[in-house]
Amino acid sequence: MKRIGNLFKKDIILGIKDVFILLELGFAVFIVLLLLFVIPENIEKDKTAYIYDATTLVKNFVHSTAESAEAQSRKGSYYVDSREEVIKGMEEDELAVGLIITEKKNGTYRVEFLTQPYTKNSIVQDVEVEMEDLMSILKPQGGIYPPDVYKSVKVNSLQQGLRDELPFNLRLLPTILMYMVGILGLFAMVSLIGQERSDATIRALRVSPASMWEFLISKHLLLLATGFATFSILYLPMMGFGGYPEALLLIILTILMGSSIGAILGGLFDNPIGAILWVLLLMIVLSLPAISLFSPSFSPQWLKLIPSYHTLFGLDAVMFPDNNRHIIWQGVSILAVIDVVLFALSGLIFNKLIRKEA
Amino acid sequence: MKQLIEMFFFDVKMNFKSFMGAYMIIVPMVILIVLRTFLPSVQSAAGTFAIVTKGPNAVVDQELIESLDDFADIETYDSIKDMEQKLRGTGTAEGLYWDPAAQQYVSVRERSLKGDTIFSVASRYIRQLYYQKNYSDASRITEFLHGVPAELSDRTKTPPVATMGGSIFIVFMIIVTAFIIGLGVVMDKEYGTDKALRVSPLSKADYFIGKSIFPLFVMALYTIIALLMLGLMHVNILQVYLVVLSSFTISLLFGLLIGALGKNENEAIGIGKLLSMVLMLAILGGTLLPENLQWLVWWSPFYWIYDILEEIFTETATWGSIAWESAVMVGLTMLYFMLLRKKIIKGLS
Repeated sequence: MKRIGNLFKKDIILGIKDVFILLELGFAVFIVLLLLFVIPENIEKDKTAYIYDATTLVKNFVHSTAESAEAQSRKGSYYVDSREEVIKGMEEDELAVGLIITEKKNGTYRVEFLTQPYTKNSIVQDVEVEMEDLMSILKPQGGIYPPDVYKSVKVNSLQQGLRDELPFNLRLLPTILMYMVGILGLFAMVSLIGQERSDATIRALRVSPASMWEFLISKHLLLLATGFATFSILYLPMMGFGGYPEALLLIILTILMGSSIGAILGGLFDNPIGAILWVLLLMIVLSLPAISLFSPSFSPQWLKLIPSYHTLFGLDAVMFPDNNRHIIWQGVSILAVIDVVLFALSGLIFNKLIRKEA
Repeated sequence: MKQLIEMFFFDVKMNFKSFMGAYMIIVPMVILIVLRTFLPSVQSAAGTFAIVTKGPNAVVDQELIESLDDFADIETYDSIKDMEQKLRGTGTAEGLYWDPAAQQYVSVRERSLKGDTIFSVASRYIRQLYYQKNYSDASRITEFLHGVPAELSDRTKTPPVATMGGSIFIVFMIIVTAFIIGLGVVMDKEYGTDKALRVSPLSKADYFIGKSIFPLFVMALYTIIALLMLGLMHVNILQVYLVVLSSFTISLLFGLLIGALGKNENEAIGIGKLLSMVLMLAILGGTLLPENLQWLVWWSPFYWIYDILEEIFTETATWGSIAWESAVMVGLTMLYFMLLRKKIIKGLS
């Protein structure tokens, strides 16, 4: 224990001397200032659908309650007064589609769905079904469906009411924590081991009473301590102490996962440039779940195999409670199991490889 | 010139001797395979249905399941409890089961508007199928037309998410090449190679240019491979190469910065990591911020590269827009170089 303490002290001193720790802390301060004072809390959302409803049936229905109008606005639906405005909107926003609803002389409706050239057929089919169903329900004098059609299906929901709108700068925080703190260990462990190797201090360690396990544990502790400080700088000014212990636990487990992988790479590659290429590759892979965080409808099962998925969604659940606390503990459990396996594996591989080198 | 070529061959030889050359070839290929596999799944489905398919609550109507499968991912569950657990978990999904007592389907949403018991994605399909089956004589209430307006017909058919892969990959290659140049310089400093080179006829410029040729070659080679693998060969390849070549100024700047500021690998990797974070921030800002707030990331050359590449891949770029945006990107890089010039020269001396 004393030996680990001494190694840890040495690593801290070297970390400060090599400006690695100061760089991390300085950059965290810069980012938190950016989030607090530059990135706005509320942003005007890009429009995703321009609707011209000459019948006013759909428009009136949507605006019949404030909640429904708000839900449509959050989806990016925007009502305009002419076909020209629909097309103009679509020209300005290449992600937007258009919908034009007019009434025909025979009492039915003409629905024109204007798409972008890349819009998939499945979306067209979905809009067709949606509009046929909606107009069948909304047609004045009680719609056209007989009562048994309504009885064919019932809609239940686990929660009712719109979720509070989340501030934009806070929504970015889980991803920033993941990039800046979560994968800290991955980069830093590779560089710390590379440095020890080029300074030949790993060889010197072999004639000291400290073991390779103690050497590695000390490095993990350094990264956890740096991660703790960086995390606190980023989290506390944004969120206060709300959810701090749970978020800290998630981030610590993620750092440990990264530093264990870093230890394996550091052992495998005697040249840090070789290792860093794989680190960059892992960084891209670990970034993929962020797409699901910002676009929750995309959530395939295989994405959950990437550990950062659990960090991102765990942090999201901590910061934005919504009857979703079980996601935090699910994430903690999965990351803890991964950590135990990777920590043991990295120690064994590292020991074996370093012995071979010596 | 002779020294420069010799430096280039020396660099290539050293890279392959230490397996670095092989890693530089393998790692981008793995990234491309990841992007190639991942991106189609992002655009393939509009959502997820969690459907109970076993026991008394099983949904057995294949026609209904096939209709839903046409535009969303279907996940099957053994019980209502398992299905609801999926809904309470991460991601967005809609549940569906059969209620044998009420003889009706139950569509379960994670969250709905207060008092809404009618609208869900599955419910509209179910109502439509039921209505068509049991009231086959009834006519449609809507005449549905669809198409691309003439004003937008010259736009690309490539979806934005597919073009994202190309932009991400090229920006990634800029970072990789910057790391390779920077860490190469730091290692030469550590092993004293830089001192040995001082007594050789090689000038400093020859040394840095020679060290940059191989990464540039790898980047150029992988640009065409990326376009091929990501299905972007229809874009203007000349425009892509012009941007790739001009964006190499960022690789050089970052590489020199890493090499100059890092006294050892530890520092160099730390600096490189922070520079990668700057990259991520710019791309995050560029993709998540609405149009009116994009100016917040204008300071980053990465934003401009990402923006130009997006325009090229969506075939909306003109030579004029490429020229001015590339000029802004190179100008910003030069500005950062001028600001950091003293540090770079001192660090590399």
